[in-house]
Amino acid sequence: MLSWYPLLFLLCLLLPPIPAYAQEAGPTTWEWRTFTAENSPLAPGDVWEFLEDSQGRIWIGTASPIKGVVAGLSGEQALPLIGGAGGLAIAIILGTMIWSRVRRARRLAAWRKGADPYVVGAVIGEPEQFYGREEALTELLRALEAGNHIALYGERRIGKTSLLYQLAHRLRDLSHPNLYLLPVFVNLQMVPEPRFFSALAGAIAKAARRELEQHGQDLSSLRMDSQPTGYDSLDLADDLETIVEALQGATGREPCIALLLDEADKMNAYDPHTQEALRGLLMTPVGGHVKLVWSGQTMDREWHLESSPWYNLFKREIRLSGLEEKAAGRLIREPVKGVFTYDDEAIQRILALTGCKPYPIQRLCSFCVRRMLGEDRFQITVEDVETAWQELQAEDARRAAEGATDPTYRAPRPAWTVAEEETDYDADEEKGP
Amino acid sequence: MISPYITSGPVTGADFYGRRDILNEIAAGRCRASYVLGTRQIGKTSLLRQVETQVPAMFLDLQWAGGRLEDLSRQARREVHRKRQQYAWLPPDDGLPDNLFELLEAANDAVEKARERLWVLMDEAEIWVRIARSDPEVLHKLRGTIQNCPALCVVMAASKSLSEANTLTGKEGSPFLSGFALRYLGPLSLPDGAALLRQEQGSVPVTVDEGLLAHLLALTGGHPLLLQLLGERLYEDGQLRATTEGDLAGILDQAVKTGVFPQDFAALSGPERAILRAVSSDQPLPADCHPTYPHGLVGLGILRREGDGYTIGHAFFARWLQEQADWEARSEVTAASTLTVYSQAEMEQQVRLRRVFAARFNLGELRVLCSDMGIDHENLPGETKEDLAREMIAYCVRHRLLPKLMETGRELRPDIRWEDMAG
Repeated sequence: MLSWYPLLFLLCLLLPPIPAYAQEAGPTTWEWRTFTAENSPLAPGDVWEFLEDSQGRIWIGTASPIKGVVAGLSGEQALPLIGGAGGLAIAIILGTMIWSRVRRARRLAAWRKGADPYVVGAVIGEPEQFYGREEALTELLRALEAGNHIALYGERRIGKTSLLYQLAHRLRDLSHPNLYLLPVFVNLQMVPEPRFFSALAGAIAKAARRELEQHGQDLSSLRMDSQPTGYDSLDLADDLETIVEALQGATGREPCIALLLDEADKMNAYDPHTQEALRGLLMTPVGGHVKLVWSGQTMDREWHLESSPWYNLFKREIRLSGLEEKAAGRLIREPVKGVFTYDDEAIQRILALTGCKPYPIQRLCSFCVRRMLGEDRFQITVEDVETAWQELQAEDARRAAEGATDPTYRAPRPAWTVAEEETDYDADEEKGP
Repeated sequence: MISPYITSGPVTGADFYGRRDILNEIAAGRCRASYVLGTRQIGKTSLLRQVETQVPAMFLDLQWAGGRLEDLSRQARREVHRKRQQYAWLPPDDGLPDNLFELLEAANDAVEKARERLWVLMDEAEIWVRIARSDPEVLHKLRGTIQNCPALCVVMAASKSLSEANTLTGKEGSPFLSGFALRYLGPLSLPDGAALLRQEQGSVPVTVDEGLLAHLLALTGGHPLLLQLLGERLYEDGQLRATTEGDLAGILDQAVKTGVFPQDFAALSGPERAILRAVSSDQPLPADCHPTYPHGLVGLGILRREGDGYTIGHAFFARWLQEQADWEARSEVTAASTLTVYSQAEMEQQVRLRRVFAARFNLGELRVLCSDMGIDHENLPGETKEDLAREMIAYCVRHRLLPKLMETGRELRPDIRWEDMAG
């Protein structure tokens, strides 16, 4: 959400000086004062900060020297109004406040009807809804730009798919002088082994055709279009040659197809000959235009054939765990910004309970919000978090009792209880909050 | 800045460093059949791909074919089809047989007719052993085809596992690899390793401190993959930074996870493991150690000569041996197969050395060389320098003095690439 504070301050700076008032104000001291629902008519969740002078007057503007001063809202103090400029500013402020309140009311209404400010379980597609993982994204981009395959590991629901989506966004936005990076996302979950190579070909051709369309070109005579069965790695090599040549002609750059393989654990069960065929394809000159991002929980590294193991393609790997605390904090606060606020203690508790893992965070916060909506409150406290946590665990227990084969989510044990079970854990060093 | 080091897939062109002698030898086409023997990730595929850029060649990847002969045949047809755009004398698609061996003979006929040569580059050639286990005749057919096709130069790049082909064929006729020129593909020479780290052939060279360069080359023993991994890890804004313990542990972890060291170790025979165990614990070589084993291990870069003794080829493998090796694990390659290929390579090395000494030294110089080596040349039979070179080398082999002979030769003729003689 765009904050209007910077605009307001910009306006203050642009206003003409008001010497008369400045003289009246005289030399004085200024301090920032915070207004919330507790000490002003502000709505719950709103937090405003104003300058207060030594005479208890409240101002919006810059500190000394006062170039332009616009009166703000009254707290307990009467606020002086300065000329027409002040009136205009107040109109803007009031307009913004009204807009903000209308927006907030609409969001609240939507949430009360069942919409959730947190994305719980679904893949995050939009970059603005995605928090953190900058280091991983940078490493992935660098690996691909340098022409390397890379493996991305992480437990279920840690955010691998969302990260691949973000990587695809970044790759599309990347402007490289010599390299044309084409992201191709393939979820292998539903791909049976016999269709492995045709699935890859289909996804690559679709992405390439979309790109070529923008250049007014088309891709014709691909084997995959005329060979629904029996399509293998040799066929894919032929199609890749056609695709790479077309992309090269259209973009004038060296094409690099970033094949983002999601749920790639599925490949662990493939016949080693299929794995060999994939490695063989990638070792060809045209296969060199394809770089894999293998994403899954574990890669099976058992290899009993006399040839090179297929997984030796992956010299680099990234392991995803919880978010960094700052990003996790943003994930908690930003979806409900302007409506609900979290106590610092509540935030710390959420981070501790969830180990900073995004899915548990979103789920727990969703429970907290539901609780707030029921009680018509807007400040989430540590007690709310504790209660939400109990509710969340009860729901999981109920689902397990109902025999859900694949529960939406099983609440993890708090991070510190897991740590205490580790043999080398030093209980004196780290206590749960 | 993006790192210029390449750790995934083969390298060719400006990214390919060193290996000039073996490249020239293969490209010269003097050998109708060659076996390029190397450990995992030493650069066998890159070498073949580089050869492919220099001569008319069809590239067959047995792994890509998944060890299925029919898929290998399809691959061969595809290669002939693709390469015909470049070499019009290759046979047209229509007349190409489906059977691989017949296809190779058809290609040979077309090549002969055009008075050309065609290199058949087979990568991951150890897979022939797998194919032969289900079809024992296949190796005889392949060997027969190679013999019947004089216009083809067959180059097989494989790990030591291919030596099992001898065991599979030896009972009924000649061992499969008999007649193959055997060349080790070991680590890069130190100047080539330094050139790789500095990216001297790249568009933007990398600055590497001299001390760091020497340290990295000593750590890796010139192993190209380890050099690339280190380069990638240490690269910062156009230069390489100093290593940390974390870097070294990280590289070891990468090498282990990609199966490099475990697979190399699995291919070592019992006597070789005994040698490595002794060397890694600073013990003398086992008393019953056949001298050909250390020779082969040096050729592969698994061992390195150090003074009069040996050391493990590079620091990472040394550490892996000490920390993770399962010395009792089953070996995938027998001692007999190993000894056969190592002996073959050793004999070829002696021939190469004999040629070099005979060509680059006169009789007087050879006599001085013998004296320097403590050999009484008057007791050696023969009158010509060719005779003296042969007898001197035979004496050095018997007395395990070949490394010293090559060291002395290096001092006298530094322009000769003695490291390439090792293979």
